[in-house]
Amino acid sequence: MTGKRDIPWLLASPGILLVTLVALLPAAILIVKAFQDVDTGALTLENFQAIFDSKIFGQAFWRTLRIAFFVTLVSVIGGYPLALLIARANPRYSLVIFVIVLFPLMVSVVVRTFGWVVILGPAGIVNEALMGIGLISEPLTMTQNEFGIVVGETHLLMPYMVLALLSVLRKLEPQLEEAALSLGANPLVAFFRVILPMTVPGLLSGVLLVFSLAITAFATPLVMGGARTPLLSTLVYRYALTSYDWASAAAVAFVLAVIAVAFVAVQKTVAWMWMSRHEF
Amino acid sequence: MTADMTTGGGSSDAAAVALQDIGKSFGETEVLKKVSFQARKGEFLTLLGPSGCGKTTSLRIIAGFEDATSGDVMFGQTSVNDLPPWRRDIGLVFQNYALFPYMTAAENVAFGLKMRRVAKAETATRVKAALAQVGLAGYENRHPRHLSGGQRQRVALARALVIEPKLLLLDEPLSNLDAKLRGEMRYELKNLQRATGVTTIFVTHDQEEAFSLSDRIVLMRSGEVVQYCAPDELWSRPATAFAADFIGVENLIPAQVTAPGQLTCAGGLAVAPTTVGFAQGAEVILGLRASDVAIQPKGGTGLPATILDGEYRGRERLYRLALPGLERPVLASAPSDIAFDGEVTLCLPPEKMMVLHDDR
Repeated sequence: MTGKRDIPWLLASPGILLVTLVALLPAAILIVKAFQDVDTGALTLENFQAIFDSKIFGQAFWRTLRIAFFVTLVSVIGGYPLALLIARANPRYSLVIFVIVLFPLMVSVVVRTFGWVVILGPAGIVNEALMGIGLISEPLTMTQNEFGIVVGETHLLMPYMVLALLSVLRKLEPQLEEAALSLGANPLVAFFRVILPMTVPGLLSGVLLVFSLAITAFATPLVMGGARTPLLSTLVYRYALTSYDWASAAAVAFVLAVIAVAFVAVQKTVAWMWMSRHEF
Repeated sequence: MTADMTTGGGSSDAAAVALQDIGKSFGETEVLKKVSFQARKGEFLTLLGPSGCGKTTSLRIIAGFEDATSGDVMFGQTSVNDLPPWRRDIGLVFQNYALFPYMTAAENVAFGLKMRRVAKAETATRVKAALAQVGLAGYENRHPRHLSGGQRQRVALARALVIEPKLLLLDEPLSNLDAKLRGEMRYELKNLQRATGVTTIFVTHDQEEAFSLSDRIVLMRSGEVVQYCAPDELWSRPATAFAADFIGVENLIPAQVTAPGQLTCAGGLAVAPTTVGFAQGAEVILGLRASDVAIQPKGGTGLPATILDGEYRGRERLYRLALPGLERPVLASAPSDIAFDGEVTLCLPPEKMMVLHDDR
């Protein structure tokens, strides 16, 4: 017998089944594998011991956090003015800017990343131009390193920040800023004292999106970073498909998942503290 | 129409704020056409008019949020055209209150003092006094969302007044309140303005608010000043048919000046207002309030009329009457204790007739 309360579950069952099969189940298997000895299947921490001992893991770990931090930072610094511009500009221009900002999301990651190689590579447009005007004699290394990854990922992820900020900026009453101006705050003070605090919720959700997408990005680090600058995500790939070391791959993937969950927890706590302190 | 600057002399009558030939265009659209008016020190001036008349744009130009395309905004003897809003020293109250939602009532009120770098102890005293002045003592730590509409409006007023501004600008501050509260706030607003003596410019589309609050009214329409005078003058001598219509003169009858002191209404009815002031043959509008039209039982001196219907309005009844010769019915009010019906005699007092230029 199905009651009224079962109907939503019934309707959602294909979705639930799909998520279970393609996401939850593999994740569960992965967690188990991370704690299992490959040969005997006994529970062990050796896999983690092994990766923690390897130099390449340590480098990839800190590099992943560093790059995610810088990508998030640049996305905030660059995305905030863009969001402000879109929210304030005359509707015709704001639509144009909006489409330009969102455009990266409509192009394949691989195409977009190779575009950056063309621009930043040793024989790329930037190097050619700089050498052409005589500013440098040797091409700058802007790909196959962390700089390249940060550029590529920021380009990819900044739209998420802009969208998150726009959702709060669009709801902001223009009178709030005008009230601040009339009370003697110059536009800069009005921004930091009135507008910025009001947009913290959007900023926090933008940071969450960008940071978690940045630590898990794969194609961009692979193309822009190359073999010499592995991140946790590309390291998983290397262990699993190059050296067929599934145990290490599972352990690294587990660490990556822990970072993501920990970051979500931190973000939620900060958001909750801020909201309750400011009575939102 | 230019400002009336003839009254009195001495420093107390000096204009605190003056708009001089202000023009404003947004692209091709001209929203203000040579608007001039001024508020004397301590005066309560109201910008009255229908939506789109330019009253809010005028206020925004005074506040500095918009630049005038032409003309000058004067604070005293100095032009403030190039002064940004944050240096104009104005208190501003919006229709939607615009309180900072994440700040308490006290923090909201303290904002302007903080910007002026007033010492902490003094700020605390002044914030407390300002909240007490608007009847919100004890509400210091409430956030706006825990305050009612009326209380929010009071906080907004306290925030605008605590900085002791040169000028208080009110942009339809009562429109978001319900009718009963609006009446109370109107009364308190007037008292507060009198107590502080702050020069006030108030924007509204509500003629009742304008009449009850203002020392003078600037009646605006399509970016122009139609009439600029004291409320009683606007009430008794509206300058044009638009002004009469806007302040609620019920009967506006098209007419032509046929002889000196003689009008013939569309339809043939001849009347003789006490003042005319229009050339012979001019097309005019005859204005007459319903309360000035007297209904008498049939017979006696006056015009014969037929009652079409009567609407009960409490103390009085508002009748629509058909007059032979007039195309449109005439409105007349009479005390509701006597009910008229059928044939009556109507008395249109010539001294109450307004002869108006038709600008509608």
